[in-house]
Amino acid sequence: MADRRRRNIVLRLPRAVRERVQWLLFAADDGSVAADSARSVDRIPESHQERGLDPLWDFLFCASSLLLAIFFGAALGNVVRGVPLDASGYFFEPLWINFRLGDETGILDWYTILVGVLAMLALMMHGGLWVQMKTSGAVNGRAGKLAGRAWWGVVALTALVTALTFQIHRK
Amino acid sequence: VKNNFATWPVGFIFPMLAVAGITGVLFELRKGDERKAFLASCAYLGGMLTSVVFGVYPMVLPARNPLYSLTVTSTKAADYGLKIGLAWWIFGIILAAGYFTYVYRSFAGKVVIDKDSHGYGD
Repeated sequence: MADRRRRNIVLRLPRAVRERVQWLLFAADDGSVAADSARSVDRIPESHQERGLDPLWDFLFCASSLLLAIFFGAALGNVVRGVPLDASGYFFEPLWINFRLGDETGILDWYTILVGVLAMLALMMHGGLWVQMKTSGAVNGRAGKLAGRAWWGVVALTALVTALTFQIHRK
Repeated sequence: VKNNFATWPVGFIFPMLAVAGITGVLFELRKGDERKAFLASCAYLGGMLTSVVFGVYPMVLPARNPLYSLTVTSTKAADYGLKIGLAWWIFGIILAAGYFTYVYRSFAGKVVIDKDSHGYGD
């Protein structure tokens, strides 16, 4: 009984997150995707509907891909901002200190996080355009819409990050 | 970063590629040309990454204290190793290019969603 309850909690959380993400991404489509999650299941081929763990894998795949894109961007941000190399040519950096750009920096500070979010949006746009190119029907339309929405974030953050990069390098 | 662009103005081609790419994405999306929109996005990503490389050159890993930055000259391998590496790289990149050409041709076109297609294109 306790095992079953535990498993339900593990499955329910990813499903809730997935429905939320679907709502955020696709609500404008027809305005009713989140309201009736059964309808979104209709779009999945029958062979896939039988897989009870799908929500868990969807969640893990989605979350890890988003984090990966953010951390790749943060790594690039570190290269641009500079790392605490010493005379021996080595450095150690904690994951974060206080998220500020001071003498002591962590891998994550407000600048590298911003670069990470830009990388995530850029890859979201790029991936959306790829999926749009490779699919047809409803998925094609949704991918195009997602890419179009991400585009605005990419433009705004590209301008902001470029300006901040020049400022940081001047200092 | 500014110095590099002032010294070699030809480097402006990289940020210009990024700007052209991101503008092209919206333009082609509105026109409905999916392939060109994707290629424009490739140009944006390529332009952004090459702009960064061009901007930080000759550094490959800038340090918070500029004295300790790692530069192209301070990090390069010995000439002999670079020559051998280049020879193997040419061989390896031809293999990799051939492999990717084969894979992407196998999956070319739009994905067909039915029970037996396994994700292969038209």
